[in-house]
Amino acid sequence: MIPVFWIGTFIMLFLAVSLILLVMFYQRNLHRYKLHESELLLKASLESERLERVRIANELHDGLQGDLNAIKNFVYILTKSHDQNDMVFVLKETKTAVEAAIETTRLLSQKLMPPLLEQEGCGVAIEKYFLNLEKATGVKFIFKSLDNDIKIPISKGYELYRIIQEFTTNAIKHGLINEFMVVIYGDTTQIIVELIDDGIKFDFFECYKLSQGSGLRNIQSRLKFIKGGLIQRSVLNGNHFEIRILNPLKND
Amino acid sequence: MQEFLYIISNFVGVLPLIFYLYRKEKIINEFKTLVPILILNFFSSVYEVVFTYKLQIDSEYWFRLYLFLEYFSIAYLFWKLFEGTFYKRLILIFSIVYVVFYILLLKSWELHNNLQTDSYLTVYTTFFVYVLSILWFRKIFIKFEYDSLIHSPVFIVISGLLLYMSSTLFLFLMSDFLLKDIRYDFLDFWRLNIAMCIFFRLLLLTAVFKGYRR
Ligand SMILES: Nc1ncnc2c1ncn2[C@@H]1O[C@H](COP(=O)(O)OP(=O)(O)OP(=O)(O)O)[C@@H](O)[C@H]1O
Ligand SMILES: [Mg+2]
Repeated sequence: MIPVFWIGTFIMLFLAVSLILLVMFYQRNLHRYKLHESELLLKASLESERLERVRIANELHDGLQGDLNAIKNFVYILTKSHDQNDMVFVLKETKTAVEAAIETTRLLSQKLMPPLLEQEGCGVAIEKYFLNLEKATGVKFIFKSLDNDIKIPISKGYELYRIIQEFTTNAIKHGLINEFMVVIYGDTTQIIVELIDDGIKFDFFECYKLSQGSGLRNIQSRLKFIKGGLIQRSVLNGNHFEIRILNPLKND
Repeated sequence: MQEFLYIISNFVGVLPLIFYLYRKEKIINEFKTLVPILILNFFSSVYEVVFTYKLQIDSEYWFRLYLFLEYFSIAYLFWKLFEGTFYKRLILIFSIVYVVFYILLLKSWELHNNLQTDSYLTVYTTFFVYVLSILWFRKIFIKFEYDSLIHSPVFIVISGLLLYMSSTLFLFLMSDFLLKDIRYDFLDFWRLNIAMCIFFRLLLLTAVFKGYRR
């Protein structure tokens, strides 16, 4: 009977020790993996911020600075010239350059932050964006907001807007769609955004793992930022996504 | 030797609660789930020294009561750790079965002949600890609540419970036999229990220190 005692005790102890070690080992690997993943997400969002800044810098350089230089030259000519006719002509040119500069600034600020988003909320901004997109691409874009009184805070609305923007750009670029629909509904506890298209089927999470581009990664990092969850529904044709944002009113 | 281990075991048993109370406000919230276990160890140490050791009062009543309290201090821990109704129901069912089982075993109570029936309760508690710990491990992997498990007081205590219960399971199961067989000195085997008990209480103490906010 004594061997039974020792063997039994040994087996039980072995069981407990291996369970604990296994858990610790697994947790450490999981932790490393998550750390790595969030680093990647951060890198992706920093990279896209950088690219955005490059674009804005280019526009400032080529657009605004060009206009301003032209204006400076005109002013210089004006100070030197005494011919009445010349002056009228130069003043007209100056006016055009100033108008161009104003237009460039307007476009730039719009890029930095869609103005409608700030004033009218994310729903209106998306609607306007869809209207423009429809004109430019010939694809039918539908936007439906089922609960008109849902208010999404601007910071979250901005991210949501960018997420939908990337989804639509991808759908046009890779998906060859004819129709794209966004439906938003919910209440103060959660907001659900459904994205439905009739394009080429793709698996979001597969593509996310393999992708060389930054679009899907940006979507993930923005979702993480607004604490939203993404589900891909399985449908016969096209793609169907659901974004769920819990406690949309909470700003943290 | 025996006496020495005994003193250490009871000395280490009172420390966790004292250290907890000493700097209570500095301890993380999650630690509250462990307090019943600390209290139980404190009182069982005090009880053993005062009543069993000094006054030589029979410990069998106490031991049976101890098993009951032990089960419920552990059940409290898991009750607080889980949120979903599924888990709460599971713990509730486990506990109801335990109480029924406990009452049934009380009927066959005879003084000085309870080691066998005590061990059934221990087996049940061990099984309970295994099931709930595994469910808890699963939960922390899914929810990803902890950065490092080694620094989590709850993980340390649950590991301690698993180790203590596993290593003493066969001792309790076979104690009746070991006690009655005159070829062996039961105290030789009982030392395993005391050693593991010291180990568990040291882990409790470690858990208290890990529980201090940094
Ligand atoms: N709507 C879609 N239909 C079909 N495939 C898609 C769709 N959206 C994404 N994909 C696939 O997922 C891949 C990754 O997309 P992602 O947006 O990350 O990169 P990208 O669009 O190629 O580049 P970027 O967005 O950085 O300009 C794409 O290359 C494409 O193969
Ligand atoms: Mg893209």
